[in-house]
Amino acid sequence: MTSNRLRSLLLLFVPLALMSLPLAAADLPEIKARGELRHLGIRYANFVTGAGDGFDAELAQGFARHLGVDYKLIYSDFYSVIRDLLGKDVLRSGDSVRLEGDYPVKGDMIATGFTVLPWREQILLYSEPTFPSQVMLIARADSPIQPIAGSDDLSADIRETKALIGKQSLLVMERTCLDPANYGLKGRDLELRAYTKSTNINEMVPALLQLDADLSLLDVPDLILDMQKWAGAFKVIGPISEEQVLAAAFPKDAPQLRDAFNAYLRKIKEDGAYDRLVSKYYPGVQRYFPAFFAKQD
Amino acid sequence: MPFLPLRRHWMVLAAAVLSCYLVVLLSNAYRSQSQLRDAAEARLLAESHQTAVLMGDFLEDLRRFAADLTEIHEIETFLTNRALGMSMRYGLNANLAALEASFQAKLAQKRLLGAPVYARILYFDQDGTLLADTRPGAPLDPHLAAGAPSERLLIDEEHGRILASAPVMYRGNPSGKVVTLSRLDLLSRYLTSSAQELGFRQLLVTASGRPLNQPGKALPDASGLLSLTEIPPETLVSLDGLPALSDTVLSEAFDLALRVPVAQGVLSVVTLLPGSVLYGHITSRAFLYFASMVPVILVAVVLVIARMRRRARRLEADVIESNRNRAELQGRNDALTAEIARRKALETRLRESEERYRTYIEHAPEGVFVADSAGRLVDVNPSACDMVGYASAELLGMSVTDLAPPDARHEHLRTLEQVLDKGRYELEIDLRRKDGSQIVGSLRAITLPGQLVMGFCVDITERKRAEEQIHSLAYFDPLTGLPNRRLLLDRLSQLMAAGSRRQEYGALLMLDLDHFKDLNDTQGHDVGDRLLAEVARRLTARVRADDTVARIGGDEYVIVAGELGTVQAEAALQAEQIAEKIHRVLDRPYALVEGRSLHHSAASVGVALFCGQELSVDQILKQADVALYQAKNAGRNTVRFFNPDMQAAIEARATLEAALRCAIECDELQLYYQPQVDRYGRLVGAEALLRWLPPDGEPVSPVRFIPLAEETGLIIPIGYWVLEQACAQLRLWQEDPRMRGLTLSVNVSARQFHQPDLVSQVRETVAISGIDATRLKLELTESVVLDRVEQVIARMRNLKMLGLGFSLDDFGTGYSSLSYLKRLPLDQVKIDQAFVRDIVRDHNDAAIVRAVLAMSQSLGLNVVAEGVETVEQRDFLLQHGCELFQGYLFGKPVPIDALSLPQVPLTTDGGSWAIASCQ
Repeated sequence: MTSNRLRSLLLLFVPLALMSLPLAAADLPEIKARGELRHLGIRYANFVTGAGDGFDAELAQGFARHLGVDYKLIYSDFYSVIRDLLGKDVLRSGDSVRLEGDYPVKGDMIATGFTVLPWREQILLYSEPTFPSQVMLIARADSPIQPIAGSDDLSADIRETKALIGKQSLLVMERTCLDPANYGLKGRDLELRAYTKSTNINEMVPALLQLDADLSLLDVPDLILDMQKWAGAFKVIGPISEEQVLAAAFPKDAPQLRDAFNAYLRKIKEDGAYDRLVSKYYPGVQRYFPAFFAKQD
Repeated sequence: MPFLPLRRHWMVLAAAVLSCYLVVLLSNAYRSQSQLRDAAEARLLAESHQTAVLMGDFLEDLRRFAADLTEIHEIETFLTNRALGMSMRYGLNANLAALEASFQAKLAQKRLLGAPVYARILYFDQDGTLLADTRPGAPLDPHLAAGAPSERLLIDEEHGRILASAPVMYRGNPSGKVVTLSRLDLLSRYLTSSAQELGFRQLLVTASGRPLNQPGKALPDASGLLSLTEIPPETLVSLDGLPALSDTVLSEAFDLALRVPVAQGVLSVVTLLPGSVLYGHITSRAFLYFASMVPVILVAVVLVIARMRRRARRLEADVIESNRNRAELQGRNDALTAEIARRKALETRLRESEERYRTYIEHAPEGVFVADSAGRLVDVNPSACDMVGYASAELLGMSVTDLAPPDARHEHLRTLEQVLDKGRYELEIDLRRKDGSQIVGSLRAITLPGQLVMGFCVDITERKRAEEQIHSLAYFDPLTGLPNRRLLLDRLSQLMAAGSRRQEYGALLMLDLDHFKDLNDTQGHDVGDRLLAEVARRLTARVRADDTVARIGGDEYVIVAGELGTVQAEAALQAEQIAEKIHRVLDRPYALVEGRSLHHSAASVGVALFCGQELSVDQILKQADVALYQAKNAGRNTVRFFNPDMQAAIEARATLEAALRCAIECDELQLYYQPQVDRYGRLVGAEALLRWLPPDGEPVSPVRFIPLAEETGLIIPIGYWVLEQACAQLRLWQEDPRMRGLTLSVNVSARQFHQPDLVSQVRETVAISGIDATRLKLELTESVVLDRVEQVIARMRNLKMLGLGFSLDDFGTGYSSLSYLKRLPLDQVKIDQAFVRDIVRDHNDAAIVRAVLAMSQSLGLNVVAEGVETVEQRDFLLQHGCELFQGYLFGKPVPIDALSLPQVPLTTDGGSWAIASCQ
C-alpha cells in the first residue's frame, strides 16, 4: 500500500469519524458561524403544535431571524429534551441532579412551554419567563369532589385542594411540569398514577375522561384549551402549585445565546409582537394570570 | 295676386307658426317638468326611504347580533363549567377569557363601511355582574351601571351609543345578558353622501331633534334643528312653509326638506336640499311662465320687424330708384361723353378720310370728273385733265357737253340725267379731247350729296380698238373682208328669227368656184387669193345691203338673202334671180395678174329656201350643200335648188354608210373569187371580188357600196382588209402543190393607191403572209393611173420590187393615153366587159378589142378578157390572140369553198386542168 493510498483512506474516514461523535452545545458565535438555530420542541398545548407552529415555535423562529440565521425545529419529548440539548442524560435523586452519558446534542435551545423548575435550573440556563403557568387539580364532571371556592390566599387554596385528593387516584406525568415530585405530592400516601402512554401532556384530560384515574394534574395552558375542548366533561378542583413561569432553556455554556434571546424577548414585548403571539395561541390567558401580564406592561 | 299678401307677411305667419310650435313645446315642457319633478321627488323619497330602511335593518342587525352572541359556544361552556361548580378564580376565568377572546373576534369581524360596528361587547350575569368585557377596565356606560338594560335596543343620545342586549338562557334559566355597544354616528354612514359641495344635506335626527352626523363632518348649526322632527314624515315640504325653520340658517341654503322616520320613529333621516339640486336643470315654473309669453312677444317683435322691414324696403326701393336714376344719368352722361368723343374721332377720321380720299383721287389713274346737276364741271383730278388734254382751270369752266363729240352732246346730257335719276350709271362714252381727237372712256358715275355727279372715267380707246380687231378676226375673213362662217351663222339665225315672226322666206345660196383648184395649182395661191378677193367684192357689190355675203372656206361662198316674201314660189324666183345675177357677175373675166391674160371662172350654186325657223341652221346649210353638190354633178357652172329627193338620197347614202361601217366591224364583207382561165380553159388564177352579205338581208351590190366607200374613205381599211384576205388565201394556195401556180388578182382603188403608206402596208402584209408575191396581182383602173401619174409609176415600181404584178382594169373605158400606158410598169391589161359583151355583133367593139390585143401583144402585156359569157365570145377572143379569160362562161364569183380548184398540180405552162363549168 502506498502512502498515497493511505492518505486517501484518511481523507475518507476522518469526516465519518467526526460525524459519529456527539456534537457539543453551541453558543451564539458558533450558531452564527453555523448559520442555523436548532430549536428543540415538544408537542405540547399550543406551544409547539406539531404542525410547525405554536407560541414557542414562532418565538424561536423570530429569534433565529433576530440572529440572522436559519431556523430548524427538532421535535423531542419531555424525557429526552434535556439530553438532546446537553448531550447528557439527567438523573435526579431528590433535589440533586446528575448528568450522565454522552448523547448527541440535537438542539441549541429548548422552547416548548418549558416550566422553570429548580432542578432544571441546576443544569440549564433559563431565559426570562416567556409564559405563566400553574398546575391545577381536575376531576371528571361527575366526580363527587366539588371545586374549592377559592380565595385570595393561594397557599390556603393549594392546601385545600391537595386535601381533597384524599384517596382518589391521581394521574401525573413524571419529569414534566406535572411531575408530583415538583409539588410535594410524593410520599404522602397518595395514589399517584403516572401516565406513561405518552409523553404528551395534552393527553392528560382524555386519559382522565377514560377513567385512568379519578383526578389528574393539569397545567393552566392546557387547561385553558381543554376547558373549551371538553367543556362540561371535567372540572377544575383547585390549584396544586403556585404560579409558575415558563421560559426558554439553554445549555449552561451558552450564556451569550441566552442573553441574546432575552434581548430579543424584551424587544418583542416592547413592540407588541409578544402580546400578539399570546393572544394568537392563548387568548384569555392574560385574564387568568393578570399579574404576570401586568408585569409585562 | 292672391299670394302677394302671404309673401308680404311671411314673417308674421312664420312667427305665428313658430309661436304655436313654442306653445306646444312649452306645454309639453310644462308637462314634462311636472313629471320630472314628481319623478325627482319620488326618487328622493325612495332614496331617503331606502336609507331609513338600511338604518332600520342595521339596528335590527344589532339586536339579532346580540341575540346571536348569547348562543356562542364560549358562553355555553362557561355556563356549563359554572354549573359544575368550578370557581371563578381557578376555572371559570379560563372560560371567561375565551369568551372575551370570542367577543374580541366578533368586534373585529363586524364592520360597517370600513368602521367597526361594535365598540364593546359585554356579558352580564343574571345578577348584573359583569363577567366578560371586550374593554375590561373601561368605564361603563351609565345605562350599564346597574347591569344590562332591559330594552332590547337603546339609543343613548347623550353618549352617542346604541345598546343592544339579549338575554342568555341556559337550560331554560336566565343566565345573564349580552350587551353590545355601537357608536350612534355609525348610522350616519348610511346617509347619502352629504357633502356640502353637492348642494344638499342629509341628517340623521334623533327623536329629540338632535342631529347625528358622519364622523369628521361638521354638524350644521343646531339652531332650529330641533324643529326638524316637526316635519311631516315622508312628505317633501318647503322650508318656507315651516315657521320654525324659515328664519334659520338652513333656510338660506336649502329650500326643501324631507323627513323619513327610522326604527319606528326613534330616528329620522332628514334631507335638506335646494330645489335646483332636486330638480336639476328642470326649467323653473317661472321660466316656463315667462317662456309661455315668448310666442306673444315673438309675434309682437315680428310684427314690429315686419313693419320695420316694410319701411326699410320702401326706403331701399327709394334708394334703388335714386341710384338707378343716378346711374341712368351717369350712363347718359357717359354716353354723351362717348358720343362727343366718337364724333370728334369721326370728324378726325372724316378729315383724315377726306384727305386720304382727296389723295386717292388726286393720284387715281382714272379720270375723276365732278359736275353739278347742270353739267358744269366743278372738280377734276389730274388724270381727268390728262385724259381730255385740258388744264384743270379750263375744265372747271366747261360743261360735260363740251367734252362730247358734236354728235354725242345729247347723249352726254342724257347720261347726266340717267346718273341723277338712278344714282349710279355705267357706260362707255365718247369724249373729245382738246386737240379734237376722240377717245372712248369707260365711265362709272355716281351721285354725290348736293346734286353732284362724280364720274370715274378710264380711257379704253386702245382696248376698244383691240376688241374691234379681235371681233373682226373672229367674224370676218381676213382675205376678203367678208363675214366668216361664224358671223354667217349668227346673221342667218337672226334672219331666221326675224323671218319666223313675219313668215317670210329667205334663201341661202352656196356657191363654189369651178376649177379653182386648178388655178391655185397652176397660178399659185396668191393669184387664187386675188380671185377670191375679187369674187367677194363682186358679190358684195351685187347683193342687197341687207343681204349677207360670207366666205366659209376655200372657194366656197354663201349669200343669205332675206325678206323674199311669204310665198315660196316667189321666194324661189327671187332666189333664182339672185343666183343668176351672181352667175353673171362672176362670169366676167378677171384680171388677176397684170400683163397676163384674163382669167375666166364660173361657179356652181346650190340654193336652199327657208322660212322662219322650220329648219335649223345646219339643215339649211346642208340642203344648200346638197344642192351645190347636185349643181356640180350637173356639169358645174349651173344652179340647183334643193328638193326633198335630194334629201332622201342624202339620207339613204347616210344610212348605207352607217350600215357599211357596221358591216366592216361585223365581218359582213366577204371575198368571192372568179376564176381566170387560159385558152384551154385551165384555171390560172382568180380575181378577188368584194361582196357585202348582210346576215339578214339581200347582198348589197358592190356598185352601191364601193363608190360610197370611196367617198367616205372607208375604201382604205376595206382595201387593206381585202389585201390581207387575198394574201392569206394565196398563202393557202401556195402551200398546196396543186394550186401553187395560181395567180390572185386584187382590185386597188384610186384613193387607196394614193395613200402615202401604201407601199409599206403592202410590203408588211406580204411579209406577214409569207407568200410568193409574184402570184399576187394588183388591178388598177385608169382613173388611178391617170391621176398623179408620176407618183403612181414610182409606187408601182416600188411594189414591183416586192415581186407582185399590175393589171390595168377596165382598159378602154377611159381616156387612157397610150404614152402613159407605155410608161406604166404593167403586166396585164384587162379588156372591159363592155367591149366583150357585143364583140360578136358590134364591129366597133370587135375592132377595139382587136386593137387592144394587138397593142398589148406589141407591148408584151398579157390580156385578160372580162365578161366572157359565151363560147362565141371566147372563140372570137381566142381567135384574135387573147389567151386568158374571165367571165360567167368559166365561172361566177363564188366563195372560196365553191371555187373549183385543180385536182392535179398546175404546170408552169398551164397544165391540163380545165374549168368544169366551162365544159
